[in-house]
Amino acid sequence: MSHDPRHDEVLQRLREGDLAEGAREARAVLEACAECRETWRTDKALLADVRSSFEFERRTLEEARALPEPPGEREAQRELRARLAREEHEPRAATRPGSTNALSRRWMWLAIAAGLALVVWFALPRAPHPGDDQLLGTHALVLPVPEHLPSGSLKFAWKGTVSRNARVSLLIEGRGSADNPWTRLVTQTVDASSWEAAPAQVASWPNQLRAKVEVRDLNGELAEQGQESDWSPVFSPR
Amino acid sequence: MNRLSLERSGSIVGSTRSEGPPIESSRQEEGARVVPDGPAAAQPDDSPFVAAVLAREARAVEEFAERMRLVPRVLSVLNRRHGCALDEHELADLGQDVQILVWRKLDEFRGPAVLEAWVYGITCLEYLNARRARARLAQRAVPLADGREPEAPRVDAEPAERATEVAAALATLDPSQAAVLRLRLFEEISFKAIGERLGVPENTAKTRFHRGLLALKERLRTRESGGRPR
Repeated sequence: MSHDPRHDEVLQRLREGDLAEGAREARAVLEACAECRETWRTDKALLADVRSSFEFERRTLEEARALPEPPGEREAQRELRARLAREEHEPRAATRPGSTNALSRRWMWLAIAAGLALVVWFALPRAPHPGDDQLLGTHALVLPVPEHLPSGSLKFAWKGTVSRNARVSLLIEGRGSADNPWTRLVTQTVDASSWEAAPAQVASWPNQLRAKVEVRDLNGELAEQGQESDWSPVFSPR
Repeated sequence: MNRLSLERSGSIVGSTRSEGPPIESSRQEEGARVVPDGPAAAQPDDSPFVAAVLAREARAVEEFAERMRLVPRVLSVLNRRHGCALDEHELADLGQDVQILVWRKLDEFRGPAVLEAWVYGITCLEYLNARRARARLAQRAVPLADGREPEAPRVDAEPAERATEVAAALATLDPSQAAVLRLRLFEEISFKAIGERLGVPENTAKTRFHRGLLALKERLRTRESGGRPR
């Protein structure tokens, strides 16, 4: 039997746990339709993985609570408390009801701080500051599969935030087929949040491509751990 | 501040399965998984606590700092289960970084959820990122004379690897989808009860479940095709 869209409802109920794999209705579809059988095989594995992951989380948290003080806990606490003592967390605090006076004061201080920052900005030379914090919400840096433009160019657009003293490098790798190793095609510093590869360049690339973006400091050194996107899904240049 | 919420959430470990006898779901087929239609009020929720932290209420901030002691501990357990891939100093630095990252992202916390479960996902993600960065640095530091790429350090930690990858991927999902996946697959409650807890119709809960699974599958595929170090 070939796949029938009506099978999807059975698969849906299997995933939801509303229908058992051994139920007559499920067996009939899974035995007859190879596509459904394969879909359910991968979905069942995923569901098991998610359950195992939650169970792993429970055990890890239990064990973590029972641990004696691990190395670095005291230092981490000290650093966190120092941050908590000096840093405001503006987005949510500003929307809290009943805090109009605090809000006005906060805006006033913000305006003063912004004015001072402007003065400092114009007064100081533009030099990189090695101590500047470049921490991102690292996994927030995302490079989706690029857009094929009608001209034949490829437009790479990444999403995320980096600090002022950071640069983003776009890396593109290619290979002829899955058997070949990946070869670096492009390492491009991107000042804006997108970059276009010219049609002639795209035409010279092999069949399979992948890309990612990395955060680097002004000296071109890779920033601290994890400040990069995942590799994009493999895509074709044409 | 909601002291009740603090006491309740402070006493639990991440998230726990619902207690009490299972109740038959209204729509059970032969042999299907039995899921309880648990009471909607049973769900611990740290949203009021997080709002109090963000509003800089002194007791809440103090409690938050205390609860964040868990981060280096979780990292220590994760690292052991991953074959001690990071050394003590790297782990200590990472503990600080993750705590600060959690503080910065705190306004992204969405309830009903337990703070520790949310923090755990971020911790897994950052732990895996740190391991990747370490593997990359190791590759750069020891170039092989014959031009071969050096192998990433191998650890005998396959189940932990997968569980941590999945937790990291779950942490990047839309919180409303991740919440439904957790309630259904970990707490094993019915979609009807999930809808009640989240204040949405049962069908919306189902839709979030399916979309969440689909998104999770895609994220895991992306991570796998990205040549994660093993």
